[in-house]
Amino acid sequence: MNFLTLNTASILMAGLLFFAMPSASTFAQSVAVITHKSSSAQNLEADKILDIYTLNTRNWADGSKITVFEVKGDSPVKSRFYAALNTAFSEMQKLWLKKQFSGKGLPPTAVNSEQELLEKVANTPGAIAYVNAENVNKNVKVLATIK
Amino acid sequence: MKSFFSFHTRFGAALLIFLGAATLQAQDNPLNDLRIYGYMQVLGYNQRTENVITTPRGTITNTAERNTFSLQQMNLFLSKPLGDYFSAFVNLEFSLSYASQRGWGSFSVEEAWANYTNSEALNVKAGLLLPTFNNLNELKNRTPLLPYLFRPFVYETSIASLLNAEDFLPERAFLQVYGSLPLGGMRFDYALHTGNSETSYMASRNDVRNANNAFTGEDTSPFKSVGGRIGVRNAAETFKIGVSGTYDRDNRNDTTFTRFGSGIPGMGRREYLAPIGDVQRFRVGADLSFSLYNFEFEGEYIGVFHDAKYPTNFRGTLDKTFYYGNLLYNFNDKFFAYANYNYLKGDVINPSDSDANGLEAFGGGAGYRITDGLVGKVQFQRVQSRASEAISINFIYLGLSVIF
Repeated sequence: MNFLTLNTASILMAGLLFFAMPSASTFAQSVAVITHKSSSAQNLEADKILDIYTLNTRNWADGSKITVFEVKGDSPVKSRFYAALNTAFSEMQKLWLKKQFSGKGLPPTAVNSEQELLEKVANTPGAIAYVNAENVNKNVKVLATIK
Repeated sequence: MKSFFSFHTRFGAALLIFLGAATLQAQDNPLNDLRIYGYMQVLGYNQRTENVITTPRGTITNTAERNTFSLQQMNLFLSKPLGDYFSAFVNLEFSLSYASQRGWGSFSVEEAWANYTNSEALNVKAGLLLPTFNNLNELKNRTPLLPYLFRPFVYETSIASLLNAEDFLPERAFLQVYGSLPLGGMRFDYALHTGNSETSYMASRNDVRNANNAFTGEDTSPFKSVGGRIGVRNAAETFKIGVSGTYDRDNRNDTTFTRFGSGIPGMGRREYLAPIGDVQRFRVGADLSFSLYNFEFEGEYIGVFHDAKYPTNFRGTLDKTFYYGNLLYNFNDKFFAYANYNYLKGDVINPSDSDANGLEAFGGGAGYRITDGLVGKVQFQRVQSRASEAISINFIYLGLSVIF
């Protein structure tokens, strides 16, 4: 009986540990905040990135317009990025809608994949976006990395 | 008749060419993109009214009930960036199942402005605009952003025939300077605006007293409205607090006031003219909103004060008070529920009744975000007055907010 009880407890504990552990993808994915190669911006802090994504800051320091891109749908990269900014994607959606309906800004331009996102950033001066750090290529400049 | 159709045909064709050209241009240059978007809110509701009249011989109770469907509101936005520093925005509003042919509802150009952004700290908006005052004034008509279907009294456009929102709020302005400055880990917001006097000073088609020969929609008075708001918030706007104020004139030149005598309709009621003049009016507001865990709270106070010399036969006051609070709980990203209360004291219909105990509304509701652009809402609201004729109205609303 004791053996059975111990065994049951072990199985339960193992099960709990399995479900409680974050998935491998959550651990693995560092997020890179990227911009156009010509950008003069350097090493953006989290509060500056938040200001850009909340549409409080709409121009770079040199006066040029900031264009924000984002991949459609949910993903571990997206969750990780917004968690690092101490917010959630759903909160940001509400805020973007509020700004859009007040004429105070437009939400990020949504694209279908990270590949398309990288191309957009590479071809749009003033662009900013975040991607899985493993997918960064030489056509874009990294402003920050969330590990 | 022919010319009527030809004008509309030509206008429609011109609009199509304009929009088409803008779209083609947008494809060439994303920075010049003209965006067209909007939302609508359709609702159905049940209204049950109970009117209790107290007389020396007892009480008389009248009840009435009705059900209706309505396209409460539809807004169409056009926005366009005009280079790195300028943008343009137009907000067209159709309310209450608008159909001019049938005499239903109304259409209005709510906003049409150009904005200059020098930096976060300095923006200038010029044109017809909704001035910043408390939290809800700029958002009151953005129905998909609001959890409720029946808005707090002074923001509810469907009761405009009962309550003049301008008595509490600056509804329109023509110039606003605003911005945001870092303040520790927070942001300090400011806004200053100016515009015309209240609507009753504006020339309309039916105005026979337009001594200044102003065009319709123009101010016939020398008075102007000034106001603003200062506040503090965090970047994600999950905490926001501020105070607001305005100064303008309240047109009380030819208002007829009614005073009830016995409380029996038609008996003891007297009407008299009480010209008080162009009264100096000060509106003062305070607002607070925040999110904490899954809770969201928003609340406002508005006090309206007049520097008036009342006639001897006038026993009321033009001063008013309004406040509301709404507490919402998000069960998850899709489903939310809320409860709210709002109170108003002032001359809702009858300034001489303003010493009564005011008008209050309380209730609650829930909503479900079916998709990102589609929200189903349900609400129960009880509105009650404790004036000499006690009226209570129960509303049950079902609605759908659609973003397009």
